[in-house]
Amino acid sequence: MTTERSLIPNPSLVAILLVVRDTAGGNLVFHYPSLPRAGAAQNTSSWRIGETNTDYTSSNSSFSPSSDDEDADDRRSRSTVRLYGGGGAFTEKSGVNSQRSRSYDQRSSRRRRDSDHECDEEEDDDDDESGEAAGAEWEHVLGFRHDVLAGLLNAPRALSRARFELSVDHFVFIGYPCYNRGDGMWQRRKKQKKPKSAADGANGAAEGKEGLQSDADNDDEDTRGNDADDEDHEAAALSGSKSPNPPPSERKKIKRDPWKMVNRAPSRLAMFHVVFVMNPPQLEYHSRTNDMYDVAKQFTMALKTQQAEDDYVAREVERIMELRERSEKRGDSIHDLWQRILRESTLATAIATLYQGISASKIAHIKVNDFDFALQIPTMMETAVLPSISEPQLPGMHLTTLKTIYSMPSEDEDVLMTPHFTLLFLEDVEDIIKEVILDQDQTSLSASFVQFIQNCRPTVSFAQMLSSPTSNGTSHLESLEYQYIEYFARHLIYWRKARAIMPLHYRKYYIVSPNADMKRLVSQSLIFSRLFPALPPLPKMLSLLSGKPRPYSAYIPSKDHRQAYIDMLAWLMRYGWVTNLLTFAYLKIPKGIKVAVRERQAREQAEAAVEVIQAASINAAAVAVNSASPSTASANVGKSAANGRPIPSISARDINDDLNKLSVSARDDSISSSRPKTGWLDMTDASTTAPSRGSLVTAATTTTTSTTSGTPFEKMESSSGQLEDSILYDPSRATPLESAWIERLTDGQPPDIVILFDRIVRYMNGQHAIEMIPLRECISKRELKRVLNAMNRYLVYVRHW
Amino acid sequence: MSIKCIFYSYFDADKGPRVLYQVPENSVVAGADSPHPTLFSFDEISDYIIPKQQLCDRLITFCRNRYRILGYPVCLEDGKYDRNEFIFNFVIVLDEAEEFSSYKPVVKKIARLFKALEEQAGFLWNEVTRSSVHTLIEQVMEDLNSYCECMIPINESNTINLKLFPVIPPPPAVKAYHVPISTVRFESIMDSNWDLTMQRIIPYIDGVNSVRRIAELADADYTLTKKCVAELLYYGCIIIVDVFRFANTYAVNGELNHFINNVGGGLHEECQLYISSSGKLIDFPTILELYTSLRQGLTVAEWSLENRDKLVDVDSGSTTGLVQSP
Repeated sequence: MTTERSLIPNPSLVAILLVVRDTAGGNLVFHYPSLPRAGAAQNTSSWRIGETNTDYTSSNSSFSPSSDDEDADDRRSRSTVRLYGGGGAFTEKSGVNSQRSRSYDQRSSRRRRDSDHECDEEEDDDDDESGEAAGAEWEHVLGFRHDVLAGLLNAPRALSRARFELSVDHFVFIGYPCYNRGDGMWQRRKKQKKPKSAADGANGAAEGKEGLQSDADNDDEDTRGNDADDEDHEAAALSGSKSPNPPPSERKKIKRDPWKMVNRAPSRLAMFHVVFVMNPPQLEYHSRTNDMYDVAKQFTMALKTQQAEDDYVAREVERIMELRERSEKRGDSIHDLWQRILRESTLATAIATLYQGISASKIAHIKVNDFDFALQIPTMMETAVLPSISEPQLPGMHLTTLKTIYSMPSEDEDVLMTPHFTLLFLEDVEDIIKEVILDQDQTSLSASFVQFIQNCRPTVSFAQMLSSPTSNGTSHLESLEYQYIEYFARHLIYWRKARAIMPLHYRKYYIVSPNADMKRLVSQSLIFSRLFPALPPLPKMLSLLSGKPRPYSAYIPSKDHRQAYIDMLAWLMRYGWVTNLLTFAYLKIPKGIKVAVRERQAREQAEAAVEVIQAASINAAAVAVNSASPSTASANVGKSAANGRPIPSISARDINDDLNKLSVSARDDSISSSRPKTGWLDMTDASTTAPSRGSLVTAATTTTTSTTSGTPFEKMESSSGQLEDSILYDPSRATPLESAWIERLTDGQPPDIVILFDRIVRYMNGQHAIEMIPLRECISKRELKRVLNAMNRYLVYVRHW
Repeated sequence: MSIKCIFYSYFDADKGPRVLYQVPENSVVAGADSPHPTLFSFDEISDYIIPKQQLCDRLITFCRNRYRILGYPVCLEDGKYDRNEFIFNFVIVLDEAEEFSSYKPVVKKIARLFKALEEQAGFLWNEVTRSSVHTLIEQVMEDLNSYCECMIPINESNTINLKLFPVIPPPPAVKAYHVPISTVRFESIMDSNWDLTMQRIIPYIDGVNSVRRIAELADADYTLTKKCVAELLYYGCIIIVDVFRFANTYAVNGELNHFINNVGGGLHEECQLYISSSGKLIDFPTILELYTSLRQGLTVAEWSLENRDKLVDVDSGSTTGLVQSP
């Protein structure tokens, strides 16, 4: 991918279209919104933390750990039902619709100017009630004629079950066309049913038509039955969310009945294609369309399962088409028609819900044919880089450079560290648990899921959670394996319920996040004072935390306040007000150390130099003899510079080079030629595997890092004269000389310090938080502190998030 | 970054959509003896290459087989054609994952050019002139892949002039309090042909002056100054920071690592030179210590007092820090 993934969600969704192909050909059955506008896609340009985690707390949204759970439970449908059965969302939506139909007049006339066909007879559409006007409303979608668009998206069978990506000018059409199987069925049937369907397929055209007709009638009845069912349910949901739902067994029976009837003949539906129309910014094209494709495919697969089960899509399409025909005869406006369709068709409702959710970068809770699931485009929850002043801002987004746990296992993660994280819930724990209980069958897994959520504290890491069972002693967590914890955690993170953090602790440092959303200070202060009436107000807390960084305990007046202050800290973290200040360290090599190392090496070298030159001349002769077989050659010169060559292809000129270099190295007092031969290998390896780091000195003017073994030598020679303080960039991949320096740093320290320092020195590269070292290396914080204090002279600390 | 294939396709009144010329051979429609499979099956997606008349004169792209197919179908109506219309399309095929925005104008331009040629003299309809199309698209593909541009004469009055321009995101809105810092040496690239306002304001871009101040110091119109700064920003000649103030608090962030690891990238030396402009060269560890001693809750004024003995030029030092690790 050449385009960078932007942190800011921008679904760029313009509309969702449903295209089908049946015996009568292709048709654009439904689209949402009713009058899509290209401009509507571009309105989500700013990121607000509230949009990702507060808005959906208000809706009692469905939430299931496995969205492909086949055993759907009706009770989960409540959010969907409520959304369209009444309440705020509905009125808001109709408000939007009426606004759109008001503004339609101007736009339709503009469109007529643009398009050059058959619009002249529709002059009088000022009156929305006139039949012709309504027809005109329906005839164009996104500036395309209805039939043109239907033909365009009616993908041939060859493109079935594959990514469909078409762009026409600035509109991109993303989908996953789904054809039936060759025999007209949607799923492999059991053996005894096969002959029957085959016979049906072989029937004459007229007979087949009749069969289909009666089938359609059946469908109608069924759907009507289903309708009543839905209304029942709606009423139940409206009468009070706490009202007991009908037992699942009963509902299942109702649901299974139509399935048997439809099962008799193959559906007349040959293909359906849910198309997501997008208008992505050019430079984000790839990432935005890929995100949308994932949603499109998941949605299509869910529909396909329902279609295979009881011809769901075909039934819904039939119903929508019927409504359209009726409305066309009556001359209804598109607004009225769409209202009716959304009321009567669950598929249309699902598409509308999906559109509203996805286009607002929220989680869409969808119900198709009593099967509930949720879809979303995953968003980023945290960022390591503070956007600069000229970049799009992400106010309130959590800042951290830690590689925490993500919704999906990724290479970025540090497997060793994941057990030391914990979850910070972004919603009230009780709400989350309520949802989980509502959604789940009472299986053992969901019980431990609830248990996990209950026991998860922002102060206790997963590892600690496992090792010390909770106070009640009979905790399920004892039996819970770590992999489940990780699975649960990822699940909660994926569905935006939680974020992984380093466990909160009063000894750690917390600062006001430079990315805090100060525009929300007033509104959040009110909430804050309501939640923590006994504590200082929010502005006061932020002011305290903006001072010179101190451990959090410094702000806690007494031990009794500790819990309250930790709770407050969790709240501040949740809304991105504060972030954890971490410490990173670099190793500084002072000039004195370098001089000392050089002097010692010079001494050692003087003794070994003569010997090396002799060995080299012998080897050179050996190489000349064995030049045909490089492996033997390199084996022979194992002790000399030829080993430094990554590919030991040796020519006469190379030998000369080698000799030259040897003499150079013999003269060069900064190189210890008496070091073991592996040392030579190391040095060249380092320069080949990490060319950017190949230089050993700060003042090096040469930037060439070629793979030839000559470079390090020349560099060292040129630099040997001017030694000065320098920063060691990566102690874990130190060259022999650097290793010698590091060794020298611990001279005169007690042996235990030397051993410990050896263990932790590889973290001194500015990438690993000092706070993480005790966890990683299983050493106590006290010991770490002792080592760091002892080595303080050679460490440069960097503190950031 | 390269074109996998260019082909010329048209609607044949008898046989439907056909591919007449393709470069390289056998990449879209293969002969019987072709050893390689085609990039994709033309027949499966011909609807999107030779579409209905209503969809002509629009840029249409389609993805198939991990290839992105960019075309701009053209429809001409005239009595001389069979069925009174002639639909053709010059199509460029790229890898699906490729950034293709710079190819879109190219496809459009090729289509418009051949449309004009066809309208002028029936260039594509006439079998004699048509035969040169193969060489032309071959040349276009070769030149665009090698040089990102091409200039191929067709006849006395027509030439194919194409160039792939990289797409750069539009610059953010420039505000009065924004402080531009140059990332290039303006003296070396500016000449007398530059915009007059630009020439006036550039001496005042020093990482300290805000846009508003620059306009005043240069005695230039503020609106024009903003436009110039936006232009410089668009081409990456400057970056934008906040106003530097001694009462501000600055702290390092995670990006510092890139700066420290930039050995041999010249950043250290640049930083040393920049900071030490008025005195001796400060060595890098000292610079790093200075940067890392900037922290939350400490204003630059306090910080400079703390580190009085080491400091040379606080102002430029911090500004460099901001540039490297904003």
